[in-house]
Amino acid sequence: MTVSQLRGCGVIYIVEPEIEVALVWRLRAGDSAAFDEIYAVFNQRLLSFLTRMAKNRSVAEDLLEETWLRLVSSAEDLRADTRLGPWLFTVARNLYVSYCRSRVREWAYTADLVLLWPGELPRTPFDVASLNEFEERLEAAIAYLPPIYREAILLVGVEQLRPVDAAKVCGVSAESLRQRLKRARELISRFVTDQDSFAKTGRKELSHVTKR
Amino acid sequence: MSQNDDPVLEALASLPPIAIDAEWESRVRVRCHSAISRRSTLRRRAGRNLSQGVLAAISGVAVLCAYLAVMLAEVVRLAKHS
Repeated sequence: MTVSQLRGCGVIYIVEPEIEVALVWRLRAGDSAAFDEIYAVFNQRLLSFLTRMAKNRSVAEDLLEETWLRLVSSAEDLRADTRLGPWLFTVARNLYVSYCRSRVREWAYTADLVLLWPGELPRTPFDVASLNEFEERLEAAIAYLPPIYREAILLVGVEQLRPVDAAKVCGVSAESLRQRLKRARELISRFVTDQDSFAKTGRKELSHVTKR
Repeated sequence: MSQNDDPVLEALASLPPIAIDAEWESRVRVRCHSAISRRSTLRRRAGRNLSQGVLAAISGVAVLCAYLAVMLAEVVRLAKHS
């Protein structure tokens, strides 16, 4: 039913367009099995995205649960040509933004995170065991990024959305997203190469972005 | 730009996904299933109510048409006699 790509320790599932249309049609008709198929394809990816955005598993789980309930409650209103991946990531991302706004969270925490990292992202023993040193640095680099860069690199780099879809998810033009991606990649490269010196200089450099 | 020529994107694509708590996963699934079946029940009920309403309206119109037909026939009959 899906095309899958091996990546890291897991598999990323990509829904073929014609199957996506059929899934949307079945979901609109109230088919629970269609929901299960969508859930199986996107749940892991959405949880990874939200956990890395929020840097907090329980927040990510709450936001993701709400995302799925939104899908169920909006199922009848979905257009026949709805692209499920971008739709779900948009809802998840908007819920995260609303969460940040309601808690005024990101502003207050971002500066402190630089000092607190890597103790901030909660991990299960499985997560710890499965990450090698380079991946640890990569995760740290992602967490270090300001949210606008982090969401761009997570959507395109980690979750493999097409840049044009990621731009729609983030509500920006394709060109803006391209610039954010470029900047994020530069910052990650610098961080991974020399984490210690970046922590000193990068924090000041990024402060103008985090205060937007 | 493709992943093949970008080591950063290549490394990012290889990051392992965050592990899912099986208990949480099944709880969310059950919650969504019950929401789906609740909506389906509501839709079926709404459809039944709608079809009952349509049936009642059609019956009403049929009775009205029959009444008008009888009235018309009576008017024609009286007109002929007078």
